[in-house]
Parts: sequence; C-alpha cells; structure tokens
Amino acid sequence: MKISLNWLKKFVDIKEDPHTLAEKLTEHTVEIEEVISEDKYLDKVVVGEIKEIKSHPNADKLKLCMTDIGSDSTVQIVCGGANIYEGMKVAVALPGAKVRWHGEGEWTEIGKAKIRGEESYGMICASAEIGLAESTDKQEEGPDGVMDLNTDAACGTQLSEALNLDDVILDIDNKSITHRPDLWSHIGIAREVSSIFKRKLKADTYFDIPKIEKELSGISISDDISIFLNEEICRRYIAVYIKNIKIEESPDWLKKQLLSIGQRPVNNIVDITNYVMFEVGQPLHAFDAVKVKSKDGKFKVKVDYGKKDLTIKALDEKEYAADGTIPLIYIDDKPAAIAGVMGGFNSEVDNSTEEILLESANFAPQVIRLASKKLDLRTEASSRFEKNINLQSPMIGVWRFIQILKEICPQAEVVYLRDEKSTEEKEKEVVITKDYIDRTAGCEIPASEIEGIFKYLGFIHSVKNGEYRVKIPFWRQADINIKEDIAEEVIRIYGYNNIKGENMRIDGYYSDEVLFSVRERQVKRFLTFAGGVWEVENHAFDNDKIAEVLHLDENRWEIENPLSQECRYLRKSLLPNMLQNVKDNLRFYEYVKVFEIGRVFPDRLNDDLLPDQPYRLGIIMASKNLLNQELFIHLKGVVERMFDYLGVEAVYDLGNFDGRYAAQDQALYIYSKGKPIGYMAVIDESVLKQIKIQVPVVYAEIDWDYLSKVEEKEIKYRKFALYPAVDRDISVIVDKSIAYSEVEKVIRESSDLLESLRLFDVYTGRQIGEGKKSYAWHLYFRAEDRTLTSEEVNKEVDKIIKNLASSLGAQTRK
Amino acid sequence: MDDIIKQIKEIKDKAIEEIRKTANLDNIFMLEKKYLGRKGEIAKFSKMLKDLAQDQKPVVGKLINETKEAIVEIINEVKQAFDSASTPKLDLDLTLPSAGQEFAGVHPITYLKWKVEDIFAKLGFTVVDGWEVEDDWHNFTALNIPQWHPARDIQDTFYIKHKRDDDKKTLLRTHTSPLQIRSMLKKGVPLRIIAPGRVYRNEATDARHETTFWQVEGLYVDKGVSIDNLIAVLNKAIKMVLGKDVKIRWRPGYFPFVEPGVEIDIECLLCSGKGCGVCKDTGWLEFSGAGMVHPNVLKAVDIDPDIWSGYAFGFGLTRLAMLKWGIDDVRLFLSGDLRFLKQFKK
Repeated sequence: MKISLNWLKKFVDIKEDPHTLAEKLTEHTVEIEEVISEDKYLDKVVVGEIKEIKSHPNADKLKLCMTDIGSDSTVQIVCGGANIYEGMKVAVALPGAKVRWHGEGEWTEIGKAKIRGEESYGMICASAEIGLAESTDKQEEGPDGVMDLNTDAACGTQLSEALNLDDVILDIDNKSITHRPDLWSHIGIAREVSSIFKRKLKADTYFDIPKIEKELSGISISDDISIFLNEEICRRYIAVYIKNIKIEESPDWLKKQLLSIGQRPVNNIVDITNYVMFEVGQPLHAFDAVKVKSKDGKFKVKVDYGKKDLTIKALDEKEYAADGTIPLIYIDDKPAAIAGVMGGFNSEVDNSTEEILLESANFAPQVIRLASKKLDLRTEASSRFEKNINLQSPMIGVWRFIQILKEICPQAEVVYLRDEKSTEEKEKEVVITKDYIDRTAGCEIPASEIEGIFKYLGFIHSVKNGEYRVKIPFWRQADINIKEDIAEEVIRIYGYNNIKGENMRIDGYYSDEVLFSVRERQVKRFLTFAGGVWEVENHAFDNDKIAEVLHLDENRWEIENPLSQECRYLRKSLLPNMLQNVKDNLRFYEYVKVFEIGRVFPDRLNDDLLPDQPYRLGIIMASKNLLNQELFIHLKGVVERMFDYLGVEAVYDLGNFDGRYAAQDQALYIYSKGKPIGYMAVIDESVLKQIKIQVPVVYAEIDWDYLSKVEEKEIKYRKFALYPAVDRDISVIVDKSIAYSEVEKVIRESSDLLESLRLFDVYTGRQIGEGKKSYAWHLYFRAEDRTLTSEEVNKEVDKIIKNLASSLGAQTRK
Repeated sequence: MDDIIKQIKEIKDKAIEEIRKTANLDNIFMLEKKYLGRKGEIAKFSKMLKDLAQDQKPVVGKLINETKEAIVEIINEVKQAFDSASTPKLDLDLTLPSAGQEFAGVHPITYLKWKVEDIFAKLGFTVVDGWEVEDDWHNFTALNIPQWHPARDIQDTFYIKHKRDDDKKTLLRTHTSPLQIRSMLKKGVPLRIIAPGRVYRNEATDARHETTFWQVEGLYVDKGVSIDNLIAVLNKAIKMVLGKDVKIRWRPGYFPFVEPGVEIDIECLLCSGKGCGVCKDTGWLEFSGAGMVHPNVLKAVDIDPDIWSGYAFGFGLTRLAMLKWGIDDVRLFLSGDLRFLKQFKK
C-alpha cells in the first residue's frame, strides 16, 4: 500500500526527513519497504518547447526537434514521438540525466549522442522513461508518444517543479498489516505517526462518531430506500441518494493526490469514492441512480448470495459466475454489484450520470475473502473488507464523501439516506496492570509512558489500584481483544529496541535429555570422512518416472493440490530420487557416491489420517570404472565398517529380496538383533537401461529410526592370549554357484579351535575348470589353556577339509 | 730402553698416519688387525716387556697402553666417519601431491543445522524432530490460525489426498511451528526446545522460491518469561551464528500464534547496510519472526496462560545458508548436484 507524505501531513506534523519517518514506522508499526521521492530521477529533466520540427535525413520515423530549453538556448534533439507538434511543451532529459529506455530495465545516464548521424542534445521523454508512468495520465500520450506537458512553466524550469512533484511515497508491506484494518488508510497511519512522535493528531472529527452523526443529521432518512440484508454477508449498509451531479474531470489537487499513490483518475464522483477509501479506509461505491431505480422511483436494495446460474458483468467488463457463495448487491432485483469486490457494469456511473446512489457498507470478511478468491478478483475494496473493517466506518465514509462532494460539486443535493444494520458492535473493555506489562516486556516502562501511549492511540482508560481499564476504540475492534494485545501496543510504541535484552535465563539450566542426535553426526561424519560418500538432500516428492520403472509407484501418498506433475506423490523409498542424482552427476563425474537421510512415506494401504513417516538412510554408488562385484564390495565395506564404528551388531545374509529392481538374487539383507533393518543390492541392469544409466549401480537402504536409536554394544576388555596361535593355509575349489558365506560358515562350524581366518585369494579360470571357483585362506588356531601341537592343528584342518568336501563337494587344491 | 720407547712412538705415528689416510672401511679393519691384533705391532712390544728391567716395565707398559688407546680412539673416529658417509642420502620429494582416499562432506544445510544446534544447546535448548506430514489441527488450529484466517492465505498449503472425505485434513507442514504443539503435549512445561526441519509451500519454483526449505523453530515456556529474555537469547544466538558485530533490529510483526509479535532484521550481509539488490535498498534483511506465545496456543494444549508464559521464534535455515555463502539459486540445495555440494567440504 502506498502512503503519500503530503497526505499524511494534513493530519499530523512531520518534521523528520522521510527516511527517518520510514525507519520509525518500521520499528514501531509496519514495515516500510521503500521510500520513493517523486522527483527521484528528475535531477536533469527540464521543461522544453519544440520550436521547429524537421525530418531526419536518415530515418523516416525520427524527427529533428529544435527545442528551447531555457537560458536562451535552443538545441537539436532527435525524437520519435508520434504526438509531437511545434509549440509543444515537453519533458527534456538533458545530458547527464538518468532515463529508462522504453520504461524498462536499468536506469542509464544519457549523454550527447549522434542518432543515425544527427546530433541529439538529450532526449524528449515519455512518462515511463523518467519513472512517471504511475503518477501521470499516460493515456494522453498514447503508446508511442511523449509527455505533452501542457504547462505555463517557462522553458528550463525543473520538471519536478513544473509538475509540482514534491511528494514522497512510503510503500508499506501489505503482509505486515493483514491484522490491522485501520492501517489501510492515511488517517490510520497518521495516528501511528502521532503516537510514535507524541504529536497531536489534527483530525479529531475522523474519530468522533457522535460529531459525525450530528453533522449528517440534517439529511433526511427515507423509506424510499429499502434495504434487505443477509446477515451472513452484510453487517451494515448505508445508501445515500444524491441529485444534481455533474460528471467532470476532478480538480488538479485530487487527480494529483490519486496519481501520487498510483491511482488513475476517472471522473469526479469515482475519484472522490477512491480518495475517501485511501483516506479513511472505507470502500465506497456509486451507482448511477437512474440505472438502478425502480419504476416507482424507489430504491430496493438487497444484499444476498447469487442465485444459481447467475452471471454478472463487472466494471472490468468481464462476466463473472455469481452463483451460490458469491455475495451480490441486488437493486430492484437486478444484480448491480459483486458485494465488497466490484461494481456492476450496467449500473456504472458514466459521463451522463446526473444522480447517484452511494453505497457505504460493511461486509463480512470471510465472505468477501472467499468470493474474491473464487472469482480470482482482488480489488482495493475486497482487500480492505476481508481485513474486518469496523462497523462505524461506513458513516465516516459517507461524511467524508459528502464533505468533498460539496467542495467539488457544490450544486449537488443530498436528498436522503437509509442506514441498515444487522448487528451492533459491543463496546469492549480490557483490564490490564502495569505489572503485567512490565513482566511481559521484562523491564519497567514508566506509568506516564504507558498512559501517554494510551492517549495517543485513542485508548480511553481509567486507573484504579494499579489496574488499567482500557476502552477499545471502534477502529481497533478487530485486533484488540485481550490484555496481551494491549501489552503489545504499549511495548511496540515504547520500542522493542529500547528493551536491552539482558537476561537469557539460562543460568543453572540443566536438561536430562540428549540435546541433539549424536548418532546423526557420527554416521554423517563416518560416511563422508571414512567412506568418501557425499551427503545429498532430495525432495520428498517422488521421481515419478523412475519410481514407475522400479515398481515403487503403488500405494503412494498423493497430494490433493499438486503444483505440477513433479510434486504429485510422496516418495516411499529414497531410491528413485537418488538414481536421478546418480544419472545427473555421471555427466560430470566418473564415480558417484552419495547418501541421504530422509523421511519416506510407506504404502498407504488403509486410510489412517497420519501414518508413520519413517526415516531411511540410503547410500548409492555408481562407477564408470568398476565392475558390479567390485563396486558392491566397496559399498559393503563402507556399510560394515559403519556398523563396526557405531558398535551396532549387524549380520549380513542373502534372502528373498522383495524389491523388483535388484538383479536376481543380488541383494543382501542386513539384520540387527535378529530383525532385518535394511539391505544392500545391485540394481538390475534392465532397470538401469530403462532410466538410461549405463554403469553399475549399487544401493543400500537402512532403517534410520532403528540405527539412530539403537544402543551401541558395550566394549569388554579381554586379557591378551597367553599361548601362541598356529597358522595354516588351505585352498579349496567349489562350485561357483555356492555363496562364499556358505563356505565360510562350514569352515567356522568345523573347528572349535579356529580363532580367525582371512581370505587371501579368489580365483576363477581355466586351470580349475568351468563353473568353479577357488578360495585360499590363512587359518589361525589357538587354545586358551595350552600351546597347540602340530598334530592337534592338523586334525582340525583335516576336519575342515572333510566337512567342506562332504557338505559342499569342495576339492582341496594342492 | 730408549730404543724401545722410540720404536713404540714411531709405530704410533705410523699407525695414526696410515689410519688417517685410509680410503675405505675394509682397510681400517686390516689396519686394526695389523696394529692391535693378537699378533699385531703393539702386541709385539707387550711380549718384549718381560725382557725389560723391573723398573722400566711400568714405564714402557704405560706407554704401550697409552699407544693402544690412542690407536683405538683414532680407529673409532675414522670408522664413525665412514659410517655416516656410507649411509645412503634420503632422496625424497615432499612436495608431491598427497595420496589416500578423498573424503567427502555433509550437505551445507546439515553443517549449518549442526552449528545452530550447538549454539542453542549451549543456551539450554533441546533439539526435537517431527513428521513432515501434519494434520490441520497441529499446523493451524492449535496455533490460533482459525479456518478462515488470512494467514492460511499467505501459506499456500499442499494437502494430502484421503480416500474418505474427511474434514480432518492432513498436509505437508507449512512451518515447524507444529513442533511447538507436539512438544508441549509430549513433554509438558517448563520446556526449552528447538526444532529444525523441512517445511513446504505450494508455490512455483524459481531461483528465489522453493516448495521445500528448512526452518528452525524455537520455544521456551516457563514462569515469567519476558520479551527481554527473548531478545537476550536471540541476539546472542544471532551473533554466535553471524559474528558479534552484526547489527540487529527488532520491530513489530504479526503471527497469529504470538502476541506480542515481532520480526527481527539483521543488517544486510552483502552491502553492510548501505543498500543493495538483495536487501531491496533497505540495508536490512528479515531474519526471524518471533513473539510471546499466544494464550490461545497455551490453552490449546491445556497449559494455563495465567501461570505459564513463553516465547517462540522461527527462522529460515535455507535462507541463512544462502546469505552465508552467497548462493543465488535456492533450487541448488535439493538438486543433488555434486558440482554444488563438493564446494562444501564440511
């Protein structure tokens, strides 16, 4: 919302420079996003007069304008303006001025230049080129024209002076005043300025309802206007019948004031309604009375929801479906306006209008909000009504409208009015103590300060036994309800930056709880530092295409209102997004190793409202240079060592893998304390082919909720062995189809004296025959109570070889 | 006798000279044998001793011993010289690149999250974590954001589809504030927590907007908690994250779940307050929203607002990361792009 400094100054003295004012408002009331001086870019822009127009020898569309720029100098300027004529007063940007070409992009300094071979001393400007598009009436210059100043100002006069551009605009962040309907107006901001600087507000009547009512009491109340209100939609409706209107252009001061805040002037009546809205925050609407009057000369107003299949053409000349939830103003049973949003086209004030029916009403915020959302039509009126304007406001609107109307259109005759309410506002009172305010602030705010703040904010109060009874003024009915609200008012005006922030209240604070997840840090540090695996983070939204290929696309959680197809489903595994990571990164890297810890959303089988959303740890590796087996062994090494490091028991075993994306039997389950907690798998080549990855990919997924919470194994100290170990090497040949883990299991189970073993060779090749594989181990034997004899050890080795032969058909290699 | 003394002296001189001149270690061993061996030159004189007069014996004996010692000493000296000369000189290049596996790094958000967790842990806050899909009650209603409230406008929400038509909607949480509610319900008061986590907004993505980003929520509920306490803790934490010289500005702000509500700005990190494109020429950047917990929020979880009070705050971790490292495209965080991630070996 734009606030004009000149407008504010009508209500409160402002001595501070605009930036200081903006800072104070930001610190105490609302965020000022920008301070814009109207003459910001007009430093070297002056009034000039085109004395003579000559054609440009090298360009059809360009002209050479001999232009008087004052001080007895006439210069040649090249100009392509479609609307130029000799004797035209124009805006001349002299060399050194800043302009924006075609009103877009960056501001650039212009110099003396040659344009198609002809000297040009500066530039004759269109309004947009010097940042005035919003504050001038651009329609006059046309799409390819330049500003026609039409001024008496002498050549060489600063343009800002000639156009009287001395205002400064404060741009307010609308989001910071959604709860403050009173601030959607100049008078509301003026009251804040008055409170912040403790300066008198020169606008008493604006807040004095009895006085306003008295001033309006001369207007008769007539039954010729009948008003029916649907209470759900409308809380108050004032209609005023005014005759002897003459539609004209507004006076300059009014046009300029509206232009300064970016509002285009239309005609005197429409301009006054807009002016009043920006001044006091009450949206008004004027109907052409002739167009809405019943045949009997009466006005039958009804506020109700639209009927089925009804449409209405609004002022923007668009047709809107107005059924069911859209609130309408019916006059004489015809839809005349979308209540609180926009007037109707058919009842519009036009140049021939001679009498009007003025509407100043109060609509229910939720109804207007829904309607505006549904119609996708946000207007200055709707955005005010949806903030919950107070119930007195319509009367203030009528009062100001009539005041200004009489000034601009003195012959106008206010004939009669009708004021209908469907509810009464109750006076609110809030009790608060100074002690409560001080406790909330955490510092002492002097009573005189508190009472001064009450006074300037218009909070009438009484004090008794340290207790303030505060009457909530009508314009703050929407946002002040409880003592916390009052405390906020006092503290913000007092100033948050005046509270020192001395007490952190952390002395002696002790918590039994673990402060943060140590396991997360251990695992992430291990994987990055020891494993060389990078951490990634992916969206919770699934990668639909890959999920489909992996058969991970069933029973997923679906978004009801997805932004696009890419965020329609939630992932039930980390894998699809991580495969995309692999694919993307293989364009730049030979070897991709990444992990992610994130939530997944498992199969949605029943309709539990909030099913579990477990965390998973996913690790994926892909390499252009390693074979599947090597890559898998590397992954397994990282996973095994991670469990070792964490001191968490883990057993790895082949199992019937239920995912369809692992190559046949190429998955290993991870068990801990007897429960499966994850797996490692080689991603099937045919799957990879479909998602266009040409290199081996291996993947591990582990239940992070388990891993992050499971206790680590206790370390027990053991005495060193007293007797030496004896070692032997053996080598056997088995069928390739037998898993290594089976072979090792047989060896371990064959001997009680076998302390450990180390595989040092794996071989396949012609020497040992097709379909065979050979392994060689160092075996270490040890007894706790004696030195083993050679015979004892030989016996153990024989047992091992015999068992390998009998259970696996292994041959000993000599 | 003089003759023998003279001979001994001559042998000594000769030995010393020969040993000194020796060019290789083998000759030393030879000379050692020649002079000091059992049948060596010195031994010859020892054998002569018995033929000498009784009074001469000690004199000559002493001389023999001294000569022997002198020769031993010189031999050792030369041997040592040979030893050090014969050790091959180290021929290393210490400037060659290091070997060993390259280590990786955690995600920049993780790094920053840990930093924030550490800081708040020092200030007595415990980290809590929660689900990303929440129900309407925890995300809005309990936080004093009623059905029709404009705040639901600001936060365009992703809703989850349900099989049955139910007005109890679930959604991707729009802020970490539901953790305020869940923590108070689970742990009761007094309570001092922070909740870092991912939040979601239903808005089109571009360099400055993402559907998914990180926030940190903070909550402290106790008896007699004040705005001064909030200012003290947040100012301290911000300075711990961004450096003690950072300028901080407090101003009123509006969030339905706090009253009074405040916003905290920091001086623009890029232009040091002079005004630039990032701070829209204001010199300030919004850092955090905060305030005193609204009594309706406490009532929603059956905590008596007449006895307990508290403050809450929230700030964007993703945004902080962008400011800290000058990242100009928010989409990079969730891109999984190693060209981005590898810049943060953290």
